[in-house]
Amino acid sequence: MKTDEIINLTDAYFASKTTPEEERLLFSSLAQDWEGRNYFKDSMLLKTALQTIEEPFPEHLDEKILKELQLRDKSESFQEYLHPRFLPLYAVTVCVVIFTFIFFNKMESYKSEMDKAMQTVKNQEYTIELLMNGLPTVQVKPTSQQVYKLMNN
Amino acid sequence: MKNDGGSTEFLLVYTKLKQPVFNYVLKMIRDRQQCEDIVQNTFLKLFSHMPNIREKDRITQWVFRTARNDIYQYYRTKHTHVDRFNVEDVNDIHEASPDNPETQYEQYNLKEIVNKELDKLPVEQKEIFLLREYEYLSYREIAQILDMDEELVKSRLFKARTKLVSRLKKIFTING
Repeated sequence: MKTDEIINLTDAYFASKTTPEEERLLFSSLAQDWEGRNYFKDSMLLKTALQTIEEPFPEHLDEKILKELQLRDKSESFQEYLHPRFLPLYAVTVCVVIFTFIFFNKMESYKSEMDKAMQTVKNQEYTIELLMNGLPTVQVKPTSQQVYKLMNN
Repeated sequence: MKNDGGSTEFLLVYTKLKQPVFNYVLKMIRDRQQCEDIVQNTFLKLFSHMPNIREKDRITQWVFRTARNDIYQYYRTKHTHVDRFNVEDVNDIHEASPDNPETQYEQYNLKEIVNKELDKLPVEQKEIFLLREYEYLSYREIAQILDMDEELVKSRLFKARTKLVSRLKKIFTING
């Protein structure tokens, strides 16, 4: 294996992008190539040095970013609803609400008129009943001709 | 956040890149407060631009380029507040490591030395080195981020590696 290939494979190895076969090939090649071996040692040294100074991602920053994103997402969703393409829909909705209100009021007034009419009818019914009860009782008597007919039969 | 495709995609990218971006920015400016602002700004920009980024396989480059632009913006304004946060709080050592005070001090010392050696590199070499070592970006990807020739990236990276290795060899030999 050429030195350039070893160097590329070494880079891939430290980037954790090598397969087990490639790693076996790399290590067997390193034993035979002085320059490649030096490059590998240097990469190892740099990796160790960078690991020494690597800082963990702060939790408070994570929280801050995600909260900010949540707020942005909400405001973006709200702004989306203000898009002009929704205007006809909003206009129709407002009209429907107004008509519903008008119809509701009309219905309420009809209902109260109906109640009044019902009450009047009831009162009239009651008055009629009283009048009917106030009339003198009527006695029905047969005429003399009818009495004669009945007697003959 | 809404659980649609865009947000999920963003969270995947964010989880993958937050650590390397944070370390890249921190090593470039060595100012924790500013670093956090830049990282936050970078990811917020990514969130807003995510639907407009056509080449999804270039998101990593997009993120690093955005962070880099902010770093250079910071460099331009740096003269107004030079090195105010450059020194790391010594109290942080106790939280960072559970070892005994002597080991903590040695590690802190080593960390500081490595950081200083990194700072000695010219900015243009340092950024290439960090992009290569923290995100394992290819020469081509680094060239795209920095908007320069691939051969120039290679030569700068080679110089940075050589300088750092020769300095670090001494340090690590002394520290065992």
